Amino acid sequence: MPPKPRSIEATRLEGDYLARLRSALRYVSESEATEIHDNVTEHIRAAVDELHSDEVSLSQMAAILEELGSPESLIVEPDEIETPVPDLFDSPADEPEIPPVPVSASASGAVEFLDRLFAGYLIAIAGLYVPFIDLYLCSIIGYGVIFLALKKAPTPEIAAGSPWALVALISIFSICPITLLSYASDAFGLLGLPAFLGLIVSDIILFWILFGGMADWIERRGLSELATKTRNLRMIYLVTSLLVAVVLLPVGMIAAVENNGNVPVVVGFALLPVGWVVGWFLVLRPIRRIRQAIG
Amino acid sequence: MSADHDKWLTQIKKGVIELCCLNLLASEQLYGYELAKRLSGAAPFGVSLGTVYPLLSRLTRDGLVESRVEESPSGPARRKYHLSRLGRKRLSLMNREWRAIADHIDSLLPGLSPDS
Repeated sequence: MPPKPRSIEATRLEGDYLARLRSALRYVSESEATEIHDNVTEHIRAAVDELHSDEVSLSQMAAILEELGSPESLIVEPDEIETPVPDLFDSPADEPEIPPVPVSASASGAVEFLDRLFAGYLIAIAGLYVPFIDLYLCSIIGYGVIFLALKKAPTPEIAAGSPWALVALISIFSICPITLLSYASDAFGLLGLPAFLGLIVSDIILFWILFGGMADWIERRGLSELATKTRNLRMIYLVTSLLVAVVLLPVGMIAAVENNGNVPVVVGFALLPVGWVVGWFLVLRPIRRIRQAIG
Repeated sequence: MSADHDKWLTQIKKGVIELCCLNLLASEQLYGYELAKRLSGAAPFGVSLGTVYPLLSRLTRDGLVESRVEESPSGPARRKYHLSRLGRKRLSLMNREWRAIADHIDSLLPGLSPDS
C-alpha cells in the first residue's frame, strides 16, 4: 500500500520531527537507535493510515506527533529527563540542550567495528604490493579480520555479510593447496577455477551487503548524502570486479588447460594497479570517511 | 503540583507502565504501535504514546522482551514483540509482588483520615 499523501506543511513537520529524532538518537547505541527509529516511523505510518482523510493535513500530523511526544523524549524514559521536553513546534535552532546520555559500550563499538573493517581490508589489499605468497597470506589474514569484525557489526544488515566473508576466506584458503596439488596432477589445477569464482562472487556479494548495510546505518544517523555515495559505490565495485574477472578467468582457464602457471601470474601483476585504485577509492577511503563522520 | 510530587508520580507511572506492557505482551505478540495504543487505553496516566518505545528498547536490552522483523507485502517491514522466557519468569514475580503491594496499600488507605 503506498503511503498516504501529506500536505506540504505536514511533510515538512514530519521531516523536522524525524530529523530531530535522528539527532537525539546519536546518544544511544546503534541497535537501540535502529529499533526506536523503526518503531517511530512505523507508528506515524500506522496512525496516518487510520485517518479517514485522503491527504494528511498539518493539524492531523501535528496531532499524531503530539501524541507521540517530543523526539527527545523518545530516547530516554521519563525519569531520566531532567529538563522539560520542548514544544512540538519549536524551531530546531531553539531546541533545548539534551542532557548528555552516556554513550554505551555498543555505541563506541561501532567505531571499533569500522577500525577493524579498515584494518582487514588494508591487510588484504597490502598483499597486492608484494609477491604471491604475501598476497595469499595477507588476503587470508585480511578476510579473517573482516569476518571477525562482521560478527560484531553494529546492525544486523551489516552482519549479514559475515557468511560471505567466510566463503571468501575459504576460497582464498583453498587456492594454496590446490596450487600445490596441481603440480602433482593437472586435474587439481582445474579446481582453481571454482575457488577463484567463489572468491570473486563472495567478495562482490560481501561488498554489496556490507556497504548497503553501512549506508542504511549512517542514513539513520542523518548522514543522507554520505549514505547515497556509499550505496553508489556498490555498483562501481560490482562492475570493476566483473571486468577483472572477465579478464582473469579466460587467462586462468587457458593456463589450467595448457598447464602454464606463468601467464595468469603475469596478467595478475599487470592488474595490480587496478587493485590498488579499487582498494583505496572504493573500500578504504569510504570506510575512513564513515569513521570520521560518526567518530 | 510540586516538583517533588511530579517526580513521585513519574516513578509510579514508570513502574506501572512496565508492568502493563509486560502483561500485554504475555497474552499475545504485538507490534509497537498496537502496544502503544493499548497502553494508552489501559494506563490513562497522561503518558504520551511514545513512552513505550524507549521502554521496549530497555526491556529488549534487559532480555525480557524479544522482537522479530516481519516483512509486509503492503508496506515496510514491521517489528513484532513478545515476552522472552526470562520475561515470563520476571512478569510472574512482578505480578505476584504487585498484588501483595496493592493489597497491603489498599488495607492502609481506608484507615487514613483526610487531614493526615
